Amino acid sequence: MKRKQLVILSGVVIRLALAPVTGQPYDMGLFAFFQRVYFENGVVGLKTFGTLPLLYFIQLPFYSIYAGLRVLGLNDYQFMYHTSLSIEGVFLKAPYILADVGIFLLIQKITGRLFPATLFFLNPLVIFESSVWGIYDPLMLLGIVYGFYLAKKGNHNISSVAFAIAGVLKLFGFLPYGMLLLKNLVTRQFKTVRIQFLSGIVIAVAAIAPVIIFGGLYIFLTGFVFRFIGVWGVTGGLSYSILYLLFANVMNKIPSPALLVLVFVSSLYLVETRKGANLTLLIKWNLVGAILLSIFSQAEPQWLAWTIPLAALYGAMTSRSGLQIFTYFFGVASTFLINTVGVQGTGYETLGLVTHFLPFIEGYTNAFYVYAMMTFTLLMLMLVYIFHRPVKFRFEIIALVVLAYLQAYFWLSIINLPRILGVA
Amino acid sequence: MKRRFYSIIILVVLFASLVLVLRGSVPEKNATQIDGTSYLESIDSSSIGPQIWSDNLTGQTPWQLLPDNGTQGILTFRNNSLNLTAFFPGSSQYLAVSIYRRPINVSLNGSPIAVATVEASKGIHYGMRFSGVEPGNIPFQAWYESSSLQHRPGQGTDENLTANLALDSYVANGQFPPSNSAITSIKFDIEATPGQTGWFSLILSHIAVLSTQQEPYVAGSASNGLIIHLNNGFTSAQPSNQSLFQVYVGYGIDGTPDLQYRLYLNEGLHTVAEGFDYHVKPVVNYEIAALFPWRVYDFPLVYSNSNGTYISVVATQGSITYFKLDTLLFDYLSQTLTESASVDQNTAQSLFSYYMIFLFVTPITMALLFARSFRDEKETTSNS
Repeated sequence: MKRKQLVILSGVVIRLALAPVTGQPYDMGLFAFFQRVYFENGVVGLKTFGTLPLLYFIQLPFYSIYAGLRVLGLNDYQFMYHTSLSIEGVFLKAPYILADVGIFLLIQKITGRLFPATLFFLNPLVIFESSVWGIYDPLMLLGIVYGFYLAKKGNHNISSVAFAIAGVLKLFGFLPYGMLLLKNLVTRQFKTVRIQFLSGIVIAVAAIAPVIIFGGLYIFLTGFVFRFIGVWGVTGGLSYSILYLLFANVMNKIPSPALLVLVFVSSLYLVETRKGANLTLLIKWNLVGAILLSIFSQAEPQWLAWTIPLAALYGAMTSRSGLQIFTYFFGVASTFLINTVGVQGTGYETLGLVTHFLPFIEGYTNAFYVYAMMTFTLLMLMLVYIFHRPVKFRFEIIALVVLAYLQAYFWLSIINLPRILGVA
Repeated sequence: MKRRFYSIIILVVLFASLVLVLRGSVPEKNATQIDGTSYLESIDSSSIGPQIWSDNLTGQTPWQLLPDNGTQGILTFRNNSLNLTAFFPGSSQYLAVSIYRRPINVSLNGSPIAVATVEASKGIHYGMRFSGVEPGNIPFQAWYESSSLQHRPGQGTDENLTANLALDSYVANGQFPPSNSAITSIKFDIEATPGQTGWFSLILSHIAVLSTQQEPYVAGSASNGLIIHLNNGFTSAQPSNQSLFQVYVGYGIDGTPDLQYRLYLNEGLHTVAEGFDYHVKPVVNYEIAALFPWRVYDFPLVYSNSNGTYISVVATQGSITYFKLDTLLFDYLSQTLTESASVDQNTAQSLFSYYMIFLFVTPITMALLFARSFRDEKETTSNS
């Protein structure tokens, strides 16, 4: 068996071992609900579908196979306290697992190397999101990486289409789309701009049309568009960024921080691209954008995985072996943090309950602040690996991160800095 | 190339057919969505009504002073304000100086609220408590220890306190007082922590009880809460073998600039689901609120005494001046979110070990092995 097939086989086996017995109870329940009401009751629930509608249409064909098996008499079973059934969970996660395989193949094609592709494919955070959590970010990332692949082949117009499709899966996908559009605008390639702009509009309208047809336009705007740009109605909503947790009063004065980050990185991309436009710069500034969004906005845990394929590509294309290996470590550390202190504990994805299997490192005072501080630290380290000259990964970094964790635990939990600052 | 194109076409047609043919065909029922707007009965608004009791704080009414042993208390009245001054000697125990206004007779019918304006010295703690009697002269408390009205730190400045008397009785006793119950006593106290010594004061400059009114909602009228009643058909439409997963409420809302509000789903006096706190956005007055059974933390300040199902929109700050319901969807699943339940410890530990092995140990080991194997890889621009 060839090495590439061996990596794919091992990655898929790991994912299939986890998919039927795990799941983020809310998200899996949500996606199972909308597929069930369609195949059981014939209800198209697009009006209040939990996310952008393209995902609904991607899930339908995968779930239809499961629905067909149920009609033929397949018995599925409830595992622990999960909101989806076991085999049902695998079918709901199947598009994300396939997206992981697709990204692996594309990274290998873009870089010509299996090393960065493998570091992506066997990264615990990537595995966690597609096969444990059951969140759809891998589909958006597939669109982005496919766009990079097309851009590498010189198909810039079609790469814009791929980015726009990624954008209608998760709005971050519009960042590379916008960057390419701006670059062509600045360099006066108006014919290309026109094609890219029109294709983006057509894709966006086609993606939103089903929501409008089912009467959910206001819900869509309120739940996604306004929320993404920071105009949302929840008072004191949960943020995973340490800046928002510790300095909410200052940060809340910044209007639409996500938009500001997007404008900022796009501007820097334009400035740097004047020296010579190439794919590496596009990947670099999208990677920086993903990092800054996780620092300066509500920063949901799944956003951390956006950096992984981008950093693998950028690291491989600029011979930054340190960045590639750090990105793998970033994934391991982030997965550990999300499981222990980021969400409801190690029992959440396994049993479907708010339970702590590791009470000595979970559920302590201000554990959530420690999560936010540590992800901030890891993201800052990744920024250093991006902007510093290429260096090798040193194992001292692991010790440094462990020390940072202990410091965060000491100041945020034992000394209780949030209480001293009056925010907890 | 042509073969690949035909394969894609065949796959698309196959899956599209599957999706269309299998729509509504799975026999098991593991999910249900109910459109609540089909069961909408009425919308009531709740607002503050006329004053039904007050004290002019001139000393002509019976306020009684009750100091703990070792403390001193002086009660004076001046400029329509009550002034309680107390000395604490510095004890090893908590000490309090209390004043009572009794007897009074304020009916609890109609969910009255009490409002008071109080200034307490910095460094001391204070509280406001109500108690009453049910028909048959059975006493009950209309306050509870964990309430924000108890053991409040003095700020040295006026503070406005509000107590929902019937609701506080419910929290204190686990049931609402029967009709024709009445509040008969008001108590204020200032209390010193162990070791605290010196003179402290509490100035009460306003106290009154106001009725609340629930009447059919009229667009444009200001209210501190809304109750969206669903008819009996909703109860029978709910699936018996499924549990509530979430409720989506889409609506237009407007109010005073400081408006903050929260939504609740209640079945009679049982809170079934609760949402987050919302404010009015600057760009658009439309909002979508999700209510979850696992987020139930408290009871709505605006509620109905009926046994039916209703959604409460409670202004926790400011007033609501406009509300229009657009969407009300109830989602049910065969297994909804469960926060805690009993699990066999051995099974749970085995599952956790399995999880750790496949999420961390195996991928890291495989990555190390493959990385070693790929070390000799040369960078190419291959399209293989």
